[in-house]
This record gives sequence, structure tokens and C-alpha cells, in this order.
Amino acid sequence: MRQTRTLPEVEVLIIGAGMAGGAIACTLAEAGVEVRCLEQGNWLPGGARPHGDRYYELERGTRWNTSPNIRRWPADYPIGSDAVEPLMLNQVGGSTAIYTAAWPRFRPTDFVKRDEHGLAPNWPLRYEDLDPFFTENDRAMGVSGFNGDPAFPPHHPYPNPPLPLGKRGNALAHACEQLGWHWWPFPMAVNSREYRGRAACNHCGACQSGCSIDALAGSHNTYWPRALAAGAQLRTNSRVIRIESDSLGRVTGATYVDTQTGERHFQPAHKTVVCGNGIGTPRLLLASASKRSPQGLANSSDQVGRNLMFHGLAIVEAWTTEILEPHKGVICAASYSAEFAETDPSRGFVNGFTLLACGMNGPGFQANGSHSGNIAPWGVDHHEWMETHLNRGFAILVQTEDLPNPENRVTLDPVLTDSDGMPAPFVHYRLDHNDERLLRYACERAHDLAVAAGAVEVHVNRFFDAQHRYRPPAWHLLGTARMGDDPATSVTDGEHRAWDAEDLYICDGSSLPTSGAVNPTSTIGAVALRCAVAILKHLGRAAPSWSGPREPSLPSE
Amino acid sequence: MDNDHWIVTLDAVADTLIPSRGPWPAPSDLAVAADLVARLRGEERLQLQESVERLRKDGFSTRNAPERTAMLAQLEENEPLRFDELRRLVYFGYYAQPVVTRVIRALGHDINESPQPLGYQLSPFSRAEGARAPQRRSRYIPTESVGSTLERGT
Repeated sequence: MRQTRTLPEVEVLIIGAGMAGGAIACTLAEAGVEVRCLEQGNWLPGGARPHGDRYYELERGTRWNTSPNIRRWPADYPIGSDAVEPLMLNQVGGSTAIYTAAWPRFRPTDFVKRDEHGLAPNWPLRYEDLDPFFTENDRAMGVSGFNGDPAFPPHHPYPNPPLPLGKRGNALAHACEQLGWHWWPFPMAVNSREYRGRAACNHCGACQSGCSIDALAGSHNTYWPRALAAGAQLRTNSRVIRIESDSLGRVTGATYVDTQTGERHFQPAHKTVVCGNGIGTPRLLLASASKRSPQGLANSSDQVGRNLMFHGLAIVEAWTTEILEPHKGVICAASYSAEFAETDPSRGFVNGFTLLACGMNGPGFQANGSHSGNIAPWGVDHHEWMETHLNRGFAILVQTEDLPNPENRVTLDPVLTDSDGMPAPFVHYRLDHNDERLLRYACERAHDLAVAAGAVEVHVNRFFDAQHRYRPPAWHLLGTARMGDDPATSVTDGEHRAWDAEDLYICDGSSLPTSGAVNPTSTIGAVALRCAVAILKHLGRAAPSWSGPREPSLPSE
Repeated sequence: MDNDHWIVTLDAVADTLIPSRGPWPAPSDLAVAADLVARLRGEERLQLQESVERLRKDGFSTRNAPERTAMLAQLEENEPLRFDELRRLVYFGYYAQPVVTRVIRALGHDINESPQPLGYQLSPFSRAEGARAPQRRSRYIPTESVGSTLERGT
């Protein structure tokens, strides 16, 4: 067995360099805290991406696939599942290095679902508590948006003007106007103009492989450069295999493998922050079981890994006679509708959904059915189909809020392991009956929208397989180490401290008690900044001096 | 070489899946098969080779057009997953060809061979578009007004 070398203690150890890890590292380092981050992946330079390759569409389906099970890079770990295809990236920036940068906020009702309908918990904070952190996060990421969306409370202006609507964004807008529905330009963490040294978007449309010109913001090109400039240490190729704790239950640091040399190190820390995403975090906590914590670290409540939420997802695609150029501009999304975002009990279910005007990628992807399986016929009819369908349409992404269900969970796979022998996560997920009704209703409204947009052909992908099992691609990994006010039903308190593991913090998508009906990264980033301010408070350090409509603050102890 | 034979067969398969017509060239005219195979990872290449080898052994390249179509239709019916993957790769290979991009461009589409480095021009978000955004549609429910949904519903 290899020897483990013990390194000098650091003040704060962060595990995972994604959205939350980057925001926390940056905030702490700029406040003068000694920070070290362990990241199992490496830097992913923009030029390494396939955007300049004529085979970019094939690459996106293989080497650059958003599923680690297909991509199979050295830093990836396999994910077992009986349900979904979880998507993530294990590199500096985490999944923000390959995501589409959709940037809506959660809404006020998302924080008080217990008060609203009782089928999900309240958060231990309110929208108003998070608002200044949303604002600071928007600034750090360079969000482009149109101010004044009536579907949200008034908030500080976005740092950049909105991105172009393009033909498909306008198509959704016109359709909503016909139906009398809300629509609005969608906020995106993509530069509509040069911002803080990063280029303006040139609308290449290939956001699903990240961004080769860094116009699209992730923590790798926003928070991490600042964190490193402020003295944070980032150790790449460093895969944490176990969080260590002493006999009293205090977390003392983490053991990791240098994946370049195979050497093992113990990194002691005064405080440890886990930011491994909604699947990686519960996996690591469960794999860190000990005699004192046989169910897994921070898991006396048996809540670690439970309440997994992905969002209900479907894609409705509209083909029109007009060329709508769905290969141009941000792929998700030019405009959106929040007409049905709030619960309306008369519909027969709780929670709501949003509809987003999304792209269809290039001709190879469109010939292969785009997002809805409308595949160009082979044989003599192929070219005629392409001539009448190519670029004539757009995709409507249906995104519904799913309820936290304790049976939807991440456990450790009994067979699969990563390349260092650590058990892989296993994901089980089923749609709740409420969520099935919600998704069906949302697809019907998306169909209405497609028709109002002038669709001559509509295809719906509900992501059900031949056995009628719901098997969606799962980007939004939420709820598996949720924060709360009650140690019996949550894993951390409202300031991200594990209830039963001293000096351990957990902050990423797993912290979110509800899923909202929108892409979650904006909220994960805001929550991470708030977590960093909490850590500063616990360390006796001053909060950062962000300017804004309200200074960030936390309740006093 | 045996390896070359399956690539020749793959071109014939591609020509059957995407026959030339008007300005659209045949895949074999563009040597799509060799170009595509060079881009695949080991496992994907082996799976594709296995599918094509079966067709080669059945004399696919020596058959006439209706017979080739019938052979692929039979594969599609009997082994849909294998056929889907074969078609998927051929489509990606064909539409990755610069000549094909030029044909698409000639049909009136503003499209590049790859997304970068050129990107695309889009008109900036305009004041007129902003004025159209509905200021009063939809609404959020303020935290202090949430109450119970069931109560709200009644």
C-alpha cells in the first residue's frame, strides 16, 4: 500500500473548482484567507475545444460529450444509473467550463415552498437575503440581460446589455404576444460586449462545448483568475478520495491522489468546504464513512444523497417555413416565457415551468433529429427533407420544477469504481406523479407556443424510453446535501455548516432545498458567495466590500 | 488490404443513405468514409467497422441501387440500434465536408464550416424589441404574499 504524505495545514481547503468552489476560493482569498483547492481535473484552454473543427458536431457527441460516461476523460468518474444520463464536467470551472450559461435567478416563491404548498421545504433564507449575492455574482460573471422583467422582483441592473434575440428569439416573442403570454430576453452569463478582459460573443452557436473565445463565463475564466491573483492555491489533477475526521467528529482535511504520479497526500485544514456538485458531493460524503459515521460523513440524518432533483425536462421543436437560423447565437436561450412559472392549483399540480427559445445546432445535428428525434430520412428523400427543414425552426426547452423526493437519491455503486478504485455514484430517479402532470401540461403549452410561432411540424421529446421510463439528460444536480433549519431533515445549516461534522462546509447544487423552474447556476453562485461570507464571519474576518443596492449580510449568531 | 475494403463499403453505404442529387454530391465523391473513420475513437470505429463488415461480406458494394436500399432497410428493421448508429455517423461525416457546406450556403443559408473563428453577425438587441417586451405580463409573488397556494387558489 502506498504511503500517504501529510502536507502543512491550510486555513481553508476547498474540494472542487467549479461554480461554488471558484466563487468561494475567490472571495476568501481576496479577504486574505489562506485557501487551497483540490481539483481532480485540469485547466481546459479555450483553444482545446472543437469550435474551429468542421467535425465539431461529431466531437460534441463523442470526445466532448457532456456525459462523463460517454466522454471518458481521465478525470471523469463513471456514474451508474437506472434512470438518467447525468451530465457534468470534472475540470477547472467544473460544469461551467462546458455549460450553456443560462442565468435566470430563482424566484421568491422558490424559497418558501413549504409555506406555498407544503410538498417541499422552505429554505433557511429568503430571496431577499440572496439578492445582493445574485447581484455580485452577476457582476463577476458579466451577465447580459434586459432589466425590468416583471416575472422577478426589481433588482440591480445587469452589467451588460441583452444579447441579440435573433430570429428564433423573436419567433418565441411573437408567439407569446399572440397567446397573450409573458416573454422576455433571457439573461445569460455570456458577454454581449467585451467585459473584464473577456471577448464579446460572436454568436457562433456552439455553447454546448463551452466557449473557445471565453465570451461565455464560467468560474474558470472569472473567479479563478481573481482567486489565483489573490494568492489562492489550486492543485489540479488532485482527486480527493476521502474527507478525514477525528474521533470527536471534527473534520481535519482530505486525502487525495495526485493523478499524475499516483502519490497520496493528506491535506490538513482548519476548515474544509466540499463543492463537488449534486452527485460528486454526496458520493464523497458517503465514501468518507467511518466508525463514528458509519452511514457516511455528515449523514446522521440519512439525508446525504437523498432529495435529488434534476428538473423535469422535455424539448418541443417547431419547424417553420421561414429560415430562423437556429444555429446562430447562444444555444440556450434567446428569449423565454415565465407565463406559467408560479403554482396555479387549478391546473391540478403544484409548481411551475419556464419555456426557453433554444437553438438546433448545425446541419449534421439537425439531420440527426436535432433534440427531438425528427431525423432526416435516408435515401432518395434525404436532400428534399434537408432543403425544406434545415434551419427552419427552433427548439423550445421545457423546464419544470421537480419536487424533492427522498427516494430519488445518490448512493455508492456496488460495482463501478473510478480509476483510483473509489466507488462510483449510483443515481436513482423517478418523476413524482405531481411532476408527471406538470411536465405533461408544460409540453402541451409548449406545443401551443410552437403552433403560434407558425410551426408546420412539431416534434416532442419527452425523454421516455421504449419501456416508458423517463430517462432525460440531467444537467442540474440539486438537493442531495440540502441546507435547512432542522438537523433531522437537512445536512447543513443555513450557513452551510454540516450539522454533525464540525468544520465541514458543503456548498454547491446539493445545497439547494428546492429546484426552481429555471437553470440553477446563477443561484448556486449566489449561494456560494453567501457561504464564503459566512465562512469569513466564522473566521472572524470582515465581509467583502461589494458595492450594490444592499451590502451582503448574514444574520448574527 | 482488408481495412480498405470496409471503408470502400462504407462509402457505398453512405451513397445509399445520402444519394447525390442536383448540387448535392455523393459521399463517395468526397471520400467521406475515410475522412469519418479517421475521426473516430477506437471503440466507435470498431463498432462501425463491425456493422459495415457484415454488409461487405454480403456483397453490398457489388449490388445495384435497389438491392443496396433493400439491404439497409433490412438492417434498419432487424437491428435498429446498429442502423441508427451507422446513419448517425454517416450524417455527421457528410455534413462535416466543406463542399457540402458550400452547397448549403448556395441554398441561401448563412453558415460556416465550423462555428469558429468567424462566428456570425446578429443584429444587436434593439430599442424596438425592448419596447415590445410585455411590462405587465406574468408576475412574481413577493415573499410576504406567498401564503398557502391552496388558500390562494380559493
